[in-house]
Amino acid sequence: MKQAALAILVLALGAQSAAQAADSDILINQQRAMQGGITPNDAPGFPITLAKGGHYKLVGPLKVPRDVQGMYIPVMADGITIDFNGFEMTGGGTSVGIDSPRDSVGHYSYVSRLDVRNGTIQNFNLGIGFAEQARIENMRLLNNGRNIDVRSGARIVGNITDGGSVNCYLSCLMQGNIVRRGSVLIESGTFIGNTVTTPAGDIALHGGNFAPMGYGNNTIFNENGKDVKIDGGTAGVGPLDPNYCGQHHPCLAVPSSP
Amino acid sequence: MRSIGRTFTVAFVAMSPWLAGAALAADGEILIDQQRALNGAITPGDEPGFPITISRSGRYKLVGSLAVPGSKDGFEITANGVTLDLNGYEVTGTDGKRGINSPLDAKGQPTSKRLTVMNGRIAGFNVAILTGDYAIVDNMRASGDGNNPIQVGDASRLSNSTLGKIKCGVACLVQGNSMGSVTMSGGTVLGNFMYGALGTVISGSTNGPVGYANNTIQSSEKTKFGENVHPMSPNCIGPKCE
Repeated sequence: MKQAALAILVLALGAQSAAQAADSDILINQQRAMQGGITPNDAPGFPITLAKGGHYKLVGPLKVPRDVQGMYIPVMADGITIDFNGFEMTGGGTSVGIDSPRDSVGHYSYVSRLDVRNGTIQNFNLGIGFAEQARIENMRLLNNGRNIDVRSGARIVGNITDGGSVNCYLSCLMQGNIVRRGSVLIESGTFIGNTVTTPAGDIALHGGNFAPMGYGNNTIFNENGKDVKIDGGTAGVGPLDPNYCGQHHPCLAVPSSP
Repeated sequence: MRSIGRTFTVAFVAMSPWLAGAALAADGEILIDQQRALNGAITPGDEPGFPITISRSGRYKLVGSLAVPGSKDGFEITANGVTLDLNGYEVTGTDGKRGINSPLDAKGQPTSKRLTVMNGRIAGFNVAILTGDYAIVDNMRASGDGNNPIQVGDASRLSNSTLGKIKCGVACLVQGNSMGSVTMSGGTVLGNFMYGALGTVISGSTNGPVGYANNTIQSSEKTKFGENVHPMSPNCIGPKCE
């Protein structure tokens, strides 16, 4: 009897530790999401609330029901890394994949320092919404109404997006991305070495209402052969190196209407 | 004594599912080596031997090199959303076959999407990689004897790799590679070294322009560019870096 209890204890300890990898990653899969308790404030089911700074890693795909967020990062939960580890999070066509608090006018606010990498977020109304210093790297963001909405200090590198806009407002660096059938908004920052295609509208890149945006070595075109333009904004945009923009080569920056 | 034996039996039975899943690493990876390939059942529908059929989305990692016997493909990827980390190992095969293959639809296009292949080598096949849209090929050495040993679909990114000739769909990004020629229906070719390039080195399509910049294109003869190809920043082209 004593040995049986010991054996069960050993197995229970093994199961418990399965949620915490040896390198202190917090491991997440569908079952753990449904159980809750991934951080102290995380209720069972979705969204997965990441209320504590740390390193979170997916160890399986996540399927999120309609009308709820996939993950939610509350106020004060600064310094979170989410490594998708090659797995995918799929929504029900609504809500937000990775969400965080907004201010009274709907701008993402209050939380800073989020890293998201190495996976896929698809089929939400918005893929990632975050305030300050987001790093989004080696992700696929597909078929979300909008793919990225981040406020300031973001670094967006080596991603593939399709079917939605990328809004990266202030002090933004976007490099080496594919933005297919979408558009990019950068209020200030640098846009370099990207491929962008537009679905129908001719404005592929919007920039510079508060500060300038520099851009270089981007290939920007409409997949149906129509013209594409860059909306210069009121603060202006400027080519660093040459870009290719369909019939306008070098790219034609069109100042915004006052 | 009988009690102890029963205890161990209970414990063993309780642990047996974990033991059976020993190829599943703690972080959700499915581990693959030659023996597991020969055993089969890496995913549902995977027969013993090659090709290794991957029918489920997820993360797969090599823990040993794979020697694929003649007249067989290495991998048959039928699922979307597969990450294949070669983990520094290599997959070798024979001419006429494919290292990583996808089923084709009625139009002859690969059906598997969102494949990531990284961190290893694929050699000896006719086609090293054939896959559909949103592919990522990163930190690979992959070549083949066919006309287009690397074939990926729309919105694919190929980076930091040593690659043979590349054929990519719409809206691709090819960056930081040492490679042969590239054909795509629009996209960007940036910061690559293109070795021994003969004939047409970069090609676009009527509605799919290709911008290229900061590439070194080494060639013993006059370099030719295909349809709808446009220089952005300077490139070093030909035997005298024109």
